[in-house]
Amino acid sequence: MKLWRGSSDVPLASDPSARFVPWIIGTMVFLSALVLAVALVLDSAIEQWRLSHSVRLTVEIPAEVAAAGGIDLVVMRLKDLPGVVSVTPLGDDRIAELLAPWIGDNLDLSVLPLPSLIDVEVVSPGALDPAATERLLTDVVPGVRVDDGRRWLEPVRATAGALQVIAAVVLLLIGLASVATVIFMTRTGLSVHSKTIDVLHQVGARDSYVARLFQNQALLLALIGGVPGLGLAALCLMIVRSLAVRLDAPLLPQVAFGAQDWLYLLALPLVAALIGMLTARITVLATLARMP
Amino acid sequence: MIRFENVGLRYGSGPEVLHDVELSLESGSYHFLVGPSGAGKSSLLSLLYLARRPTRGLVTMFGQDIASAPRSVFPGLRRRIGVVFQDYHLLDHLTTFDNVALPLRVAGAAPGQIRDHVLQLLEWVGLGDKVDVQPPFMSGGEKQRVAVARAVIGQPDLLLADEPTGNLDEAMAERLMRLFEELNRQGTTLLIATHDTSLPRRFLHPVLRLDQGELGHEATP
Repeated sequence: MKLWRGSSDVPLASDPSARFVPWIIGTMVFLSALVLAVALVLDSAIEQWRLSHSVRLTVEIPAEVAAAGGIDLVVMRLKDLPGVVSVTPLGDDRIAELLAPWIGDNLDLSVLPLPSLIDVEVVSPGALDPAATERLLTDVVPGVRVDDGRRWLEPVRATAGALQVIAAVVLLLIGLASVATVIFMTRTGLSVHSKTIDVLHQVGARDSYVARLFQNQALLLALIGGVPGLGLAALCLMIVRSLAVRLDAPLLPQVAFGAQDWLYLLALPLVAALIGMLTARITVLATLARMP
Repeated sequence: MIRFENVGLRYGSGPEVLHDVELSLESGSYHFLVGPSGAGKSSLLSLLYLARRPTRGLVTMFGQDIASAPRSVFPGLRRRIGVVFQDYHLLDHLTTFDNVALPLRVAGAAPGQIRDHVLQLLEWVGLGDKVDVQPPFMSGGEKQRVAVARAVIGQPDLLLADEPTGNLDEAMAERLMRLFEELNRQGTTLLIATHDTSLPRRFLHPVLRLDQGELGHEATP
């Protein structure tokens, strides 16, 4: 006698859905992983930009004023301000490096009336008000501009935020499609196996017993599909990452996909399995509750 | 234990198949239910094994009013009822062992207890060598014995059987009827629906006669 029971009381494993549902769930998990990865990368990028600019100001001095010794005056004035950690005038090399993406590497700064730049690091975000600092410095050196990066960072953040909302909507739609698939699979199973379920009820099975058979099957199918789906997505992400590190794009932040982000991705098949399980259970209980 | 008062049953909007049925089965009683084909025996049994509710009238089983009872009480009541169906109602994908174990498994019995009881009972009904065989590979008589074993494994308070000896040879039928007698002696209430008019004569229990949906009572032969 076989002590291990290889078959369920309802033969769900032989249903056609047992063959196609793992493919559907696998595809859903694959797409979800890619969308989630994009959302996480955007989140990481926004955070890096925010951190790098929240404690930094850039002071811009017109070329003619800078040539007349304006840089030293501004540096001295800045160093006297409370909350300032460091004041670093950028040399020509650094300015050339910053401008290289737009006007190339072979740049002769002497032929361009470029303003001088001073990088100011403050002790904490908001320690120095850019507008008030600009007024203060204008009294010393006319034409000075103080920029905390908010002017260009805000549209970037808004765009990234919109992309994150779109990613969330896509994830929601994928989730709803998965739920619909499991509901369809479960209702089909209930219909196909109605006689078997009648027998189970006849021998005293509660609805929850029947629901457990369906939810276990949904859990199994979701894992069978979800784990390879995630594996494929991880492979794609690693390929993209290996290509991205070769990109020469100094304006893009160095975005690292951290351990926590991988944990979020690893949770996807489990979340899919959990959603599948709960959906199957609720569908069975709701359907059987309508029986006399 | 079971009481029917003025019970009627119809399927959908069709004609009434049971009319004004009055029935009282006391605990530990043993009755035969006889009647021609189409008389309503299966319909009456379906009310007794709680597959449906009456269209009208009062059905009380184990102290519960069946017409108004919520679905949630039915599993508990059904575990007190064993049923041998005429067409067996076995699950083809399960082995003999698992079919017979079903009532114990849904009731949450321990695996060791299930194994011991099921093997013992299968031995008794002569299917000790068919433990791992599935119903499609069994004869009608063997399926009948599996159905009987499944019906009695949970030691039900009420045992309903629809033509239980129909597919059995004489010796096995005799053995089965002796099992029913023994169960009845131990307190199980029995109602056996049969075409075989010799059974009531041989086993001397009261007869309920159903004809065209109306139930009549006959004295003990």
